[in-house]
Amino acid sequence: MSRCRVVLVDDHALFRAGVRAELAGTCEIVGEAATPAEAIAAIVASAPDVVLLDVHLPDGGGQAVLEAFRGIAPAPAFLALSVSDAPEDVVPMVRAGARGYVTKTIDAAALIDAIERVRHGDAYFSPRLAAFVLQAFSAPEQQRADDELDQLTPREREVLHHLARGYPYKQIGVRLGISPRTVETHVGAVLRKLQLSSRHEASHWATSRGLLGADPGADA
Amino acid sequence: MSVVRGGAPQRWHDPAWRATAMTGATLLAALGIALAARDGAPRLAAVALAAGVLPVIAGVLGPGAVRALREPGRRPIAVALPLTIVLALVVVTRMERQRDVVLLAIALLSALGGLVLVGADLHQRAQRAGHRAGRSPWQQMTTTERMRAFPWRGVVGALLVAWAALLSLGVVGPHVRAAGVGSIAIVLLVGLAGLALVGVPVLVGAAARGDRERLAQAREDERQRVAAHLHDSVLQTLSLVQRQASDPVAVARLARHQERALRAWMAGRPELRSDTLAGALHAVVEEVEREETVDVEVTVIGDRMLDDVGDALVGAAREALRNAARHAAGASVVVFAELAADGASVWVRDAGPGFDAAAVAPERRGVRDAIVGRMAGVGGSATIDSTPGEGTEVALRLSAADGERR
Repeated sequence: MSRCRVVLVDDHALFRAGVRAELAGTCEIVGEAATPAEAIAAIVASAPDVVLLDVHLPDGGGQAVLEAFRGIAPAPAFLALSVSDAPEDVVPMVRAGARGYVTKTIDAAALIDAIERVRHGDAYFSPRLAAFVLQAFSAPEQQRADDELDQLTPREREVLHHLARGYPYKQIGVRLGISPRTVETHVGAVLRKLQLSSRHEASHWATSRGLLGADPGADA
Repeated sequence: MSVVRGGAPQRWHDPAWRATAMTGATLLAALGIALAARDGAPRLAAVALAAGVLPVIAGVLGPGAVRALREPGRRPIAVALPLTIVLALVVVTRMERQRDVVLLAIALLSALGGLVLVGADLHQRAQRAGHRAGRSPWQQMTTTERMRAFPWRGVVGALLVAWAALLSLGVVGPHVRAAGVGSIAIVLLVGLAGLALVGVPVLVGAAARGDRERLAQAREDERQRVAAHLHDSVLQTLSLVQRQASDPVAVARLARHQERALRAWMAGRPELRSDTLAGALHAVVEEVEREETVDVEVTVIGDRMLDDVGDALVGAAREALRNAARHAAGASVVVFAELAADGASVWVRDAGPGFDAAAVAPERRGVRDAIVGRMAGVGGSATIDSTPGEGTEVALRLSAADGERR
């Protein structure tokens, strides 16, 4: 298997240097960027497998980069990376097209695992992201859109629940009596529902599910 | 304090400028009509003069006066400038009646002074309202000060304006009898427009000033609040980190503790609240992380008030966490909690070595009892699920609701 080609997008040079050192043995860093414009140029220039994308960037944030590549066929896999683990940061990034979300405190092994997973077209849900997504789809009945796309199947819910409790794919498969590949399929389906249920604006979507505006600090 | 400068498009967004320009245009039109209607063609030159000078007053001096009014030091200049221009204009157009000119000038001066007084009064009130808004409800209720003081300045200002109006009527009155109703209307219109030209910017400026000061006050309060919090938390931790730089374990622990506290604060949970189950769970995780060197990822969905039943759940979770930290040293520990008013579930999972439930050593059975027994005591349940090599999960549940199937 060839080494994974990665573009690193973060406005903190120090953090990029740290990630580069951590990934040195397993991945090839083919580009670095500090702003969305630089990131788009670097991605177009180097055609990487995976883009590690910071959420909080100047001039539009990570979402601006995701929007630029939305619907373009040979786009790289995006893995969102942030110090924040607040739902209002996590969920919009995944909805805008990121295949996974990790916090910057993630250890090197888990980061490499996440990179490999999104590189192969799978989704990477950290336990916390799985919990947020579960919460997003568990809004009270009357608030939920009557769209089939907005519902999770019981099996998808179970898979997500196990992810939130920290189980790896292999063990989820064993516990539910399905193959790890089927677990991946379920997670992929959840990701698709999350990204496709865009009948409403993302913020409205999040608000109606209690992900936004719930905490008193948000209205400052 | 920033002041709007630049071209007309930018100025157009300034409400004071807009008001001034509109009143200026109205005044110009009214004056033009008055001059043209009274004396006909010979006075075309006067009309042209007015048409040349008034836009300058309306477009340049008016907004300039408003800007100057916002900077307290330049207030006299701001009042004097348009006044001089208006006086000069009056002198030019009404040269033949010296006495009337002086009287009108006095009337104008009085009106201006009155408006400034009214504006200052309004400004002070807006400012006080701003201070009130910055206070807690308790402070608003308990603070005794002369909030409702009699508006002396406002009343004096209004009286001055009224007197100026009377004076103007006295000057204009004799001419009015000779002229028709149309002339009276025009004179009144011109007078009102002139009043508005000066008054509207003053009033708008006063209101805007009050708003801005209120906003600045709120920003400053917020900055001080954030600074105070950072001082007590982050700066404190950073100084501890510097002092303990030789002990990497201690530094990592401090950083983790501070990170969690900062996240909680940013998420709007000021401190770990001890009166809710979610707060108690976070506190327990932190406590175990401090005692045993272990890194716990905790996610809590929902919340409920902490009661005796919740206390038992928290106690059982603490035991499960300690267990995980001791028997799965170095492995990651994940805590996931789903809390609601009608039920609560907590999962504590470690990716450690696991064990065979059938061959549990007696001393570990004791720990199990501390978890299972505690939950059973409040009508809940606890299940321990472990496979050698696959880690261990302790599931704690309150009420019959099965969170996994919900």
